[in-house]
Amino acid sequence: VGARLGPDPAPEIEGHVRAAIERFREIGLIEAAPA
Amino acid sequence: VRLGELDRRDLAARLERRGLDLDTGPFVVRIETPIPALVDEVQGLYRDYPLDEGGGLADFHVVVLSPSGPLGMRRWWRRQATVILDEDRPFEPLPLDMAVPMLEWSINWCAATRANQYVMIHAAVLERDGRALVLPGVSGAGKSTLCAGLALRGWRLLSDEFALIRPGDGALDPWPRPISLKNTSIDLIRRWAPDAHMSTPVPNTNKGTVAHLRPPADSVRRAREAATPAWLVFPVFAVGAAPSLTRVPKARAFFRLADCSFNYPSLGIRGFRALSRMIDECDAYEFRYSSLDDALGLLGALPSPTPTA
Repeated sequence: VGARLGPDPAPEIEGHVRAAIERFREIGLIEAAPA
Repeated sequence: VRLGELDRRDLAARLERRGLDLDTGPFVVRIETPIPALVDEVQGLYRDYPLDEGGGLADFHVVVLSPSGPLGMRRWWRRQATVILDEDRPFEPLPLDMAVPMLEWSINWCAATRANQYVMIHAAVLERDGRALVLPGVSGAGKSTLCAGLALRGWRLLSDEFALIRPGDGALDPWPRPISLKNTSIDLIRRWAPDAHMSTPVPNTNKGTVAHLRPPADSVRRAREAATPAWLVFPVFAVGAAPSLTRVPKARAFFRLADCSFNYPSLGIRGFRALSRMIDECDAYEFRYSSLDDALGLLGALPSPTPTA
């Protein structure tokens, strides 16, 4: 049970938030992935 | 009251029940978490920070939770950390052992997306004799390693990630925070300063193993002392490279600096004026290096800047 438990679903985030997260990941400020 | 003066039980209770308001200098950060391992790490990294006990507003509110998941399975299986930032959940949850980096990334995210009272540059900033050394850096340039090395040898740490330029007078406000070190830099800094405190290294992040270095207590104590920018140095780490400082023309330095800004395009003329002023006041260099000893020697001997008329 739970052997394939992946990430919990998270509410959809807006496109500009996703883009900002991706940019900050590129430059190494954060490493967390957008929800 | 400083965080280190709280005993662990009191700290854990505050973090779990109503959040702990940390005075980090320009921002009050409210941290809230029920995760026991995170309590210990916060105690280690933020020991020297004053608490904001005025009961006022926090600039950033970061909640780190370990969700129980469907049918409560995550209490036992593949435990996770997730963050809530003012009721938003912008990031995918990560394994629980990444709670410390999650907390730090979340605070970075809050500032980079909101603190538009400043012109913000992705750069480490250190100060000596009132003059600030600004080290803008792309990932892999060795900015944080260099920053940690200098901060542990007499330079005052203003920030590892944020140059906060005040648009009014061009001064740099400090924001001393734990310094993020990766992979081989962790052992390098351990050898450089064996007594320095680091969080438990976390393997398997996107960029490998990450650990955070506690900022020097004196830098935290002086978190409201601004500094005047004097040197703009673009670091380039290259294995085996002889140390060299090469002047960068001011026009080129301007565009490189603007490229490293979080909010330059949003600020219009205010951003242009603030960056122009910094470029006018600073000498700009590209710095190639392969050892911290070389860096300490060369950067410590930087000549006084020659401001543009």
